[in-house]
Parts: sequence; C-alpha cells; structure tokens
Amino acid sequence: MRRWAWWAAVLILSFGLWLAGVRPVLADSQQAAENPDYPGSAAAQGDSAAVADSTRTVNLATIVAEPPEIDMRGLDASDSPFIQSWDWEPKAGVAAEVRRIRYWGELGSTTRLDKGAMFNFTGGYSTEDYRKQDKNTVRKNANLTHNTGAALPLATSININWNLLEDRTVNSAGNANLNRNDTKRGSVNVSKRDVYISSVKHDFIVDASIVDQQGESQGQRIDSANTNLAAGWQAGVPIGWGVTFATGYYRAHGTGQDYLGDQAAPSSSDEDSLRAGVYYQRGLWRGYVTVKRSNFDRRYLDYNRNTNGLVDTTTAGVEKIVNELEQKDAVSYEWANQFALGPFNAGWLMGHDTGLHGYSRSGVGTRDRLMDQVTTDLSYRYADQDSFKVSFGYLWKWDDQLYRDATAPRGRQINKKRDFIWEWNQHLFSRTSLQVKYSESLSQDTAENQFNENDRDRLETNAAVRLNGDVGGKFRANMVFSWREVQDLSLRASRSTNNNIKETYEITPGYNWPLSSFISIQQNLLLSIQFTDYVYSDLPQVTREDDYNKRGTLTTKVTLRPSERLEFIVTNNYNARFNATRTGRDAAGNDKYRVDLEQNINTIDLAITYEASPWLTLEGATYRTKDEKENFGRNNQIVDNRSGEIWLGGTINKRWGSENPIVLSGTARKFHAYGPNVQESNKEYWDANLVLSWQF
Amino acid sequence: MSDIPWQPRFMAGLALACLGALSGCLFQPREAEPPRSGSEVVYLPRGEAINVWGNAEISLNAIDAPGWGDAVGGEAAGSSFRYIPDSQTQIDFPGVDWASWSREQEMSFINNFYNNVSAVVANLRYEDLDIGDPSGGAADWRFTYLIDVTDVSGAVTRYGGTCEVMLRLRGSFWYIEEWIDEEGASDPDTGAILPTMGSLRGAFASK
Repeated sequence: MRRWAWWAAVLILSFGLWLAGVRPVLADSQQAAENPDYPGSAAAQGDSAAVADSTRTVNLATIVAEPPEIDMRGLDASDSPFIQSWDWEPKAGVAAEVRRIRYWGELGSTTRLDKGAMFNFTGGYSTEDYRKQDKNTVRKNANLTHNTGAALPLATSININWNLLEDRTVNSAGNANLNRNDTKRGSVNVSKRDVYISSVKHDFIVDASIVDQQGESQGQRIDSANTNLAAGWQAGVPIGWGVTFATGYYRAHGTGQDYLGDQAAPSSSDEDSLRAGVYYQRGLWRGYVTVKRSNFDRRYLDYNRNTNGLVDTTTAGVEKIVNELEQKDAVSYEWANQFALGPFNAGWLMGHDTGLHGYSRSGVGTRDRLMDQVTTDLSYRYADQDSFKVSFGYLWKWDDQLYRDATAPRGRQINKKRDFIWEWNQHLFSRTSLQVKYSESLSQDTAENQFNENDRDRLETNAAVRLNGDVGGKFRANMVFSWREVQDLSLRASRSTNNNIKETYEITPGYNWPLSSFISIQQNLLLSIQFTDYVYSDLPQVTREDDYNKRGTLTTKVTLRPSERLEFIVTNNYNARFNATRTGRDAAGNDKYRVDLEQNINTIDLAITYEASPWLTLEGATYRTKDEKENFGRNNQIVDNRSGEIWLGGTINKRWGSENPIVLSGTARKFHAYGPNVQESNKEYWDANLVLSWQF
Repeated sequence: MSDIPWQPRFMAGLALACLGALSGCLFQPREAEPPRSGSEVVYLPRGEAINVWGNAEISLNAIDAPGWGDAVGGEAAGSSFRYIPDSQTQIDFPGVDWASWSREQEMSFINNFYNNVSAVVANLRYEDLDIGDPSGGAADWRFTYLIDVTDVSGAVTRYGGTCEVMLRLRGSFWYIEEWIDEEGASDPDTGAILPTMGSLRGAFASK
C-alpha cells in the first residue's frame, strides 16, 4: 500500500510542478543532460550513492567559468502552440556473435512543449540466448523524463523509471538459478545555478527519490523500499587577480525497509561531503590546492560475510543474515601546479589521501588506508620537433585491517613505487627523426611484521631508440632498437626460488611503400631474444635452469585497389621461435644450452571488399595457418596443425523514404572455421548487428 | 631548421640525453633471502599453452603472485588481460567497472588476495569441457574449476565455476588473454551452486 502512496506522490508532485508554470528565469535541461559536471546531470540523478559520487567529482573550477549557453527556443513565444513537436522512433534489431544472440526492440518518444519543456519516453525489451550455455536473459525497461524548461523559476526534472532483469542459468551440472531484479524508481531533481549574492556565485541542487526493488537470487528474496533526499550547494568567489576560492557541501539521507530471505529490517543511510579549494591562473603559474572530506553511515540487512567480504556459507553457529552497519570516512588533499616559461615547462602533483572503512558484522572488520604521491615533470622544447622531458613519480601507500573479533590489527601492507622517465625527440636530417626513451620503475611490497611471506621487489628498466624516415612523403621507414630488463625478486626464503632477471633485446625495422595509386606494400620484421637468469639457479635446492628464447616475425601486407569499389588485402605472417635451456658451462666459461622447442607458424590472409551500391558493401575474408612445432627432450614430439576460417557478409545502410525514413543499417557476417582448436559452437556462426528504425 | 645534426641545439639535446642516461640505474631492489630447502615452487615451461593454465593453478596453491603475473600477461609486449564475470557476480557487485578490468587490476587483486589468505587448494582442471590442440598461436578452452580458500580466521570457503579461457602466444610464451566466467559450478559435496572466482575479484574491487 505504501508503495502505491509513493508513486501517487510522485505523480501528484509532477502534475503540480507542471501546473505552476511561471515566467522563465533560467532553464537548461539540455546542459544538464550533456555536462556531467552540472548538478542536474544524469549522473546527479542516479541513486543516492551515485548522487554522492557525482557531487564529489564536480570540478569546482567550472562554477567560475562562463555562464552556460541557454536554449532560448520557445521562451518568448507566448503565442506558440502548446505542443511544438511530438516525435516517435521505434527501433528493432538483432545482434549475434559467437557467444550469444540478442533480439531487441525499443520505442522512443520526445514531446517538445511550450517554454522549452519536454517529455521524453523510452521503452525497451530484449532477450539474449547464450550459445555455449543453457542461459537466457530478458530485460524490460521504461523511462519517462519530464524537464520543465523555462516554465518554472528552477530547473526541474522529474523521472519515473522501471527496469526488469530476469537471468535464467542452468549450470553444467544441471542446477538452475534465477536472478530476478525488478526496480521502480521515481525522482524529482530541482536545481538553480548562477545565483549571485554580492560577488559570490552559488549553485543549489535538491534531489528526492523513492526506489522500490524486488529481487530473487538462488531462491532467496532480496527486496527493499527506500526514500532518499539529497541536497548540495557550491559557491565560488574571486579573491584576487586570477585566484578563485571555491567550496561545496553535499548531504543525503535515506530511510527504508530491507527484506532478505525470511527476514525484514529497517534501513537507513546518511552521507555528506565537504570540499574547498583555491584555483589560480596567474602569470606563469596555474594550478589548484584542494581538500575534500566525505563520510557515510549505512544500515542495511546483509548476509554474514567472511574476512574477504564474501557471503560466509561455511562457518557454523553464526547468523546467516545480519543487521549491518557500514561506515566510511575519507580525507584527501591535492596540490597541482604547472609553470611555463617559453620553451620550459615544469609541473608537479602532490596528493595525500586517507580513509577508514568499517563493518560492524562482516568478517572484513575495519580497514585503514593511506596514500601519498608526488609526480613531477620538466620539459624543454628547443625547436619545433626537438624536445627533452624528464619526469619522476613517487608513491607510498599502505592499508591495514582489523578483522571482526580480532584484538589487534593485521599489520600494514605497504607498497612503495618510484618511476623515472626521460624522453628525447630530435630532428636529425631531412625527413629523418630520432626518438629516445629511457625509463626505470621500482615497485616494493612489504608486509609489516611479516604477517605474510609476500614481500617482493620488481625493477623494470626500458631503453628504446627509434629512427623514422620519410622519402618524398611516399616511402616511410622506421627502425626500433629496444632493451628491457625486469628483475622479479621475492625477498623471503620461502618464496625466493624463482627470483629471476629477464633481459630482452629487440630490433624492429619496417617500411610502408605506396608503389602506385592501386598497389601498396608494407613489411615489418621483429627480431627478439630474451635471456632469463634465475638468481639462485646455482644452489643445490633450486632446480630452475637459466634459459633463452628467440623469435622472428615477418609481416608482409599488400593492398590492391583495382577500382574505387574493389579492394584486396593479402597478408602473410611468418613467425619462428626457438627456446633453449642452459645445461652447464665449459672450462672456458661458455654456457651450453639444450634446445627445448622449435616452432614455425605461417599464416596467409586474404580480405576482399566490394562496394556493390551506395548502400551495400560486400565483404569477405579467409585465412589459413600452418603450425609446425617440435619439442625436443626425452619425449620428442612433432606436431603439424592446420587451421583456417572463412567469412562472408556485408555492410548495409538503406533508407526508404525521405521525410520519415525507414532505415536498415548494420553488418552481417557468416563465419566457418576449422582446426583442432575450434570448438563445436565456433565452427559455424553469425556475427551480425542489424538495426531497423523509423522516425515519424 | 638546419639539416646539420651537430649544430648547437642538437649538441645541447645530446648533452641532456647523456645527462639523463647518467642518471639511470637510480633504483636498486632490496637484497633477497636465499631460498630454503623444500620451498621451491616449480612452474612449467610457458612454451606450451596448457602449462600456462597449469601455472595459474600452481601459483594459487603456492600463494605466489609472480607466477600469476607470468600467466596473465607477464612482461610481453602487446599482451593484455581481460576478465568477464558471470551474471551472478555482476549482480552481486554492480558497482565494479568490469569492462576496464585489465592486467593491472588483476595483479592488484591477486596481490591483495594472496596477502589476506592462509591457504589455497585449487584445481583449475576439475573438469575439461572443451580442450583441443592449440593452433596458430591460439588456444580457446573451457574448464570447470574448484578453489578452496582458507581465510585468516581459518574458515574455508569453496569457489567454483565454468569458465572459458583464451590463451595466446605472444612473443616466446603463452598467456591467458581472456577469462570468461560463465556460471557457478555445483559443489560436488553439497550440490549447491558455488560463487565463481569473480566474486573474489568483485569483493576486492568493491573496497
């Protein structure tokens, strides 16, 4: 009964607001729809959590920006018709792929009224059948939105929404499960922007909503009914030349009733956030300093959860359903700065972030975290194409956890990370340039008081030199030399057997040569060798042996365009690889290696595109692969696998009629594949996405 | 702009580059303890696709994060990782951005998971559903897996699912590029539908 009362309240409120049409002062529903930072945006109209998030992510700098463009259509048209336009757009489509087929239909309607007001309705239905599973999903939805436009002094949006999801799955053992979620939601969002009191600019927003959700999962009832009220305010004032102070506050409150399994209990939520910042753009400097604080308390009915936050199905003698209290408190500070002087540019970002997140009943208990970070960069552009840049990053963070019923915290899990990058771009000769990049990154994990054995360091070092050449704008060539070293080191004796250092050297030459208007050729070669040195491979308790792997890949692509409507692309990819393991060292100190594996993969691919008419393009492609592999060792094994695929299809974009056209658009392709790796369901299938739509 | 490379601006750039090079080797890792006898975690050669799936299981059982990293992308150029959860997980963790789940998220998840469990007993090949010979550097397989996780309180929770994994040969080694959890498996002891490993990822990402 109470749910019906809520729906009646929303409808009465909508009607009342509609009747209260007065002279327009400000309206910009379009702005709200398109600008995610705007308080009345779709993001700000979500559930209470989404509202909180969207408010937190509002860039306060935007409130001192230029006033938004206002859609003036209809504002002075006192003699204009009440209903200015009424458009309908039914659509239907099918989307098929290797895993599922989806059929869908949608009806959209937009009614534009006097004074910029608008009604927007969408309704949809879809059903998905899964090809590899016994699974079917049905979705139904309806959404009605009314924006009052300039009919009210406040920008007002009313939304009524219904979503239904039914997901039926029968697993491979034959056990069926139905996930059902039926959510109805009504909301009213009122906002007022650009209110000047003295020189201070203010924005206000109020959002009220009711949500009724009925669900079922694994035979358990999951229902809830909630009412939420949220309000936000933000203000900005210039406090000096190029300097603005901005602040904002948001608060939300919700109450309701939860039903989980056979239990029922009241629910509530309270959340607020406060932020303040100084934004500056003065002379050579620009940046901001901000501080944000947010927190929430939520009470709800939940399953009892283990220390990983998952439903506890195993512990005996505990309640399966509990009244949970979840609390979160977070504070962050940030300072970003950019300095530009002629060819020099310098910047930094410093951040400090802390938070506490706890549960009264979940095994997770309370989590505490902290993160400090600094990134700096310095660049010097001494010519159009010539520049040099250095950057450095530092991150230090930890999290700690006090599990429910534990007497002491677990200990801090600490992560420290440092990065260093330098880049040099230099023009060498006519149409020849050089790019050099070097980077180092060290990540260190430490468990305070060794509460686990997972302490480890990872040091990654990269160096790359790239040469680009361009002859007459036609022939383009490049060459890349790169070196990479990765040190993966676990610090504890129980984990350090696999500590290793990998070194990789690569050379990658390539060119692109358009021989004429109807033929072009492109070739790329990759030669690579990687050495893996196990740090403790010499110890008797370690069986790991050092190894190396080398490979070469040559890709050749020829494009033929015999006419403007016909195109052929032939691609060949030849890949050879060779793996070997170190078996010992001779008297002269030379390492001896044993060949483990040799493999050659050769793929040829042909693709054809033919534009049969302005609205129809026919396409097709085929590839064949030969995969030869020989494993050496005690069980010598030779494998020769052949596989391939062919697909045929097309792209269509056909319109019937000009004023209210019916449009058929999309692609459809039929695939046939063979080979030892092709699953039964992948041997033959459609990949299509076709849409039929009509506007009137 | 002159075409002569040894002009002053080029030399200035070269000097800055050399300065940058000299500043290399900035960071040094810490000294590790030599391994104890009997603590060796033996991974299989990654030149075979099936070994990489086996290594994921070895990593779980040994609670050894580097092994998981090597299985889901490692340091190979061009390698990537994508995880698609089953619908139960998507419903249970609606706030998680699964579409942008990458190797970085996967490694953050596995590090966090390993740091907060006492023991794991995993069988990633409880049932082979679709498993053919790899060909042309691709292996697309379906398995049913079971994982028993002992958390820090000593409680054991079982996870299990039917998944499709797509392994690809990138450079010299195979990697898991995509892991699709299709549905929860039935517990062989109780018959109940189990949560998939995606629920562990969801709980981590919801923190």
